[in-house]
Amino acid sequence: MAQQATGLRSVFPGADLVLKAYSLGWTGQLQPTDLSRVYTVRIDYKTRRYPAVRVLAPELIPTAAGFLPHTYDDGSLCLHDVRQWNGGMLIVDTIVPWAAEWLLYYEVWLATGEWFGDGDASTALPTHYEDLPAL
Amino acid sequence: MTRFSSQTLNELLGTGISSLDITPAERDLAVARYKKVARSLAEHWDNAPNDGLVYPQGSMRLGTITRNYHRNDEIDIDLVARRDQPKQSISQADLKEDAGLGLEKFVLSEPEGSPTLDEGKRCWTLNYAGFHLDVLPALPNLAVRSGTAIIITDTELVRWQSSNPIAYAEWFHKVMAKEFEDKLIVLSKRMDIAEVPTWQVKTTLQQAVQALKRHRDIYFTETLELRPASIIITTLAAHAYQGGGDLYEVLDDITDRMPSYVSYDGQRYIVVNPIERGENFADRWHGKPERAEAFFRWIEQAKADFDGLASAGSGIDTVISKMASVFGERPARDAGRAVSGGVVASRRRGQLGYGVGTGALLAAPTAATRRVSRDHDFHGHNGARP
Repeated sequence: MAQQATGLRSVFPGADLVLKAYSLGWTGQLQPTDLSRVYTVRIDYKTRRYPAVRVLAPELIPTAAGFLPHTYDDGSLCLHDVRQWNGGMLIVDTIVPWAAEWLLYYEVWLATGEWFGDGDASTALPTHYEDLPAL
Repeated sequence: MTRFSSQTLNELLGTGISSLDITPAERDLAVARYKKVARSLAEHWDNAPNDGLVYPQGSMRLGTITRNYHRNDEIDIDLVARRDQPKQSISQADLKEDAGLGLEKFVLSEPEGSPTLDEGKRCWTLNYAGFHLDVLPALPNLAVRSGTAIIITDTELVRWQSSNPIAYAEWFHKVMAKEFEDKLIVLSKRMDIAEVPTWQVKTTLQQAVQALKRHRDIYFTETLELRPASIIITTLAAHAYQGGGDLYEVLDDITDRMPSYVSYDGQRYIVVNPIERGENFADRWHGKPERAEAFFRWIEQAKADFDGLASAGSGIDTVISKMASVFGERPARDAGRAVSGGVVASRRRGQLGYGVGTGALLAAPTAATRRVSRDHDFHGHNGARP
């Protein structure tokens, strides 16, 4: 946990970080490109859990049906497959830049309605995606 | 207003504009087809077949093709069909009709692509799916020294019209020669081949002309008759071009300075043909002040639209939406896809980095950036957190 905190502090010295024995809370700002908005992002991490990432501001804008791509029911961002992250990895080298990527693809999605962050078609959105009910 | 430029903006703009251009596959197909037209006409005229007989002019030759916004993004390719005989031996009407006859034979021979043939004011049009070859019948202009000068027919005009599309293209290429050479060298190194096809190089001048033409097409949607001709836009843009900046800066600067190259002699507006000083490209504005006024109004609007494309931190979605209204939906979407795809590709190669303290994503990490250590996928589509 201390290692995670050290990593985050070294890259974001100005960000807000609360470190406890078995948990960590980080609030910092990310701007994936100079055209992108500056987002305030919150990361909560507890031992043996996956880090939870939320965008605090500006508020994310879902579709009229209440849909936001690559998010969980609780509003946190989906950044990876379960096998792609474990506690041995530094948040600052994984979760943080993945969140910055998410924000870039999110802004493109806002304008085009398409998520271009997956690279190849095999990981593109499933076809039922559009019809998901409002949350 | 302070002009804001950035790498991301130039990426969006560059990929958006390139989606207005002809694709390499379309280009190959177009060249193969017009070579067939050339062979067929040579046979019809019983000339020695050679490529010089039918050759591209206009935007195909200048590298400024811009898909037709009003016709489903189709492509128009302008060709000259030069029949080598003196003008005393044939009338304008006969030259035009004979070329039509030759092209009709070509169409009846059931060539690949099954084109149809239409007659226009000056040229014949071969319609293929997705693109059109406009074939302009011409004779060599033996009255002037240039070997590339031609004379052409016009059903509305009695006299032969002179033209020299090859010399014009040479002038245009000379204006941008430095940037062209520089980019050619960079491209040869990147592609690791000595001979890069020159059409693969795009200068900021060519891209600016494409952007301006597309902006014009959308702006004049309801008033097509007032639309300034592409040759006017191209000529003024080339005069205004100074080079030396990024795409957005050059586009903005050109748009700003273009109107100052239209002169007025107290009676008429003049846009001089740079290779034939006696010719005024703005002839059609004479007696139609509304055309000149429309031009000046349009260029001011283009300037305002380009200026307003982006500001720092306004959001990529805002820029893409503005691009959609300025250039159309497809180029805007292509730009968004390309900018995302670039980041995905860097990450997959293990070369994605981000700025310390900012989270700014960078395709090539430096000592001052933090490297993204792992690849990943955005797998979840709504549901409970694992």
